[in-house]
Amino acid sequence: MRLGAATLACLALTTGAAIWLAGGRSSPIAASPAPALRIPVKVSESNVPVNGRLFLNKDQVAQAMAAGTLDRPVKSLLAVETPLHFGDYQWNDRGVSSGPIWIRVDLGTQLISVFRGGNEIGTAVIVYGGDNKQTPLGNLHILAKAKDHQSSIYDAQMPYTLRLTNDGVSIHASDVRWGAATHGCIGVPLAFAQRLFAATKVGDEVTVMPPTPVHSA
Amino acid sequence: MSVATAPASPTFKRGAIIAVILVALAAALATGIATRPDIANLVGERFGNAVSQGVRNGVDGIKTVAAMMAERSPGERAKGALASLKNKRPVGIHERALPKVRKPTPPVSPLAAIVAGPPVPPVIPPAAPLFNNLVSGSPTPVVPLVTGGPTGGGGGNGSPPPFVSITPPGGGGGIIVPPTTTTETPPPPPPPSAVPEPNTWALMLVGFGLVGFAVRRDRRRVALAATE
Repeated sequence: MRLGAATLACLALTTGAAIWLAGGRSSPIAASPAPALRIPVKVSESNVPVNGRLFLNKDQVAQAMAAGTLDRPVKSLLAVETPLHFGDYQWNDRGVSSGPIWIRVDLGTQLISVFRGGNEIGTAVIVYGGDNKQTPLGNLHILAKAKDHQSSIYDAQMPYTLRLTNDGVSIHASDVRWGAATHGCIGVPLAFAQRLFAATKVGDEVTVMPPTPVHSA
Repeated sequence: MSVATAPASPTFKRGAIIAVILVALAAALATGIATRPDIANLVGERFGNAVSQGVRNGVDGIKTVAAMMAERSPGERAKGALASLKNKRPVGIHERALPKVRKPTPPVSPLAAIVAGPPVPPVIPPAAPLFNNLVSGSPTPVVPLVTGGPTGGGGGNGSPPPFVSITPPGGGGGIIVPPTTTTETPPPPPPPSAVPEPNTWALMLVGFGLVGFAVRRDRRRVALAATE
């Protein structure tokens, strides 16, 4: 009986070696795509959306500021469940107290975020300047507001214009669709532009983040 | 405890054997995986994926702000392809390629030559041959020359081609009036046809070919730019 067990163990060893040797040449395991291995994610309190928004903890803010994603502390972000499509937007200022408005425009992710007192109250997909008419980057300010603006340069309607530069670059309502580009302006959906226009005032700060992957490439 | 006190029972032996086999199999697999570099790499890769996911999500499992933004984003705009704008050209450069100007030929010539030309000889010849035959009396040498003369009259004026009819009167004598009237109308230039000529066709084909080539090259360039 013991002999039988020993032989079986040897057999198992040899099969293991055989598997190894056979698999060494054509490895079917390595050829097959590796399934995404999920590690258990510890859900902390700050990851649970409260009233449609996610409150950031200190580490997240510190990391974002160190990485350049944010240039000022932010308290909360909107909880966006699904990716936004062109023309989509979210607006949620319930329970957000008044405070300074900051508009963050990210050309890389093609998103605009509106913060009031450090809490995000709106976000939308944008269209921005084409390669030969690039959107200016950096910290800008709203210089003027015009509800029914008619562009003299392009002979086009630009409702809810928030002018950012003296040469006419603005945030305004636009047909936000895939594949579109502007002459430098930042185009947002009309309904979003309406809310943004109502929420902002002249002098509010606008930060345009560069499309990092494009510039680094 | 009852199992330990009865080591000789057949169930215990079977269980022990199975346990030994299982241990041996596990050992074999472990040694195989440990010594095989590809499997070890695979495991490491999976582990690396998990680690990178953890990093992306934050050290303690919380997403970074950038990751949150990336999740809601429709993605980065493709470089170059769709972002180029149509530039307005200055007004002065605009030109239209006009077709070649063709002056219409005088409307009288084409039809008048065909319609009015032939009737003239038939009208006058009937009188002429008679006169010719009677007066000058030289019909015999002339008649054989004019093969097409339907009337058969002297001078062969009944034949349609005008220059053939010139010679008979020369032989026939002084009657010159009918031939001169027929010869005076030269054949008019044919009206321009609506169908383009072969070289025009060729030019058009080459042009379309060039346009197609340009479009194709542009697309290819766009595709390359998108993949970069």
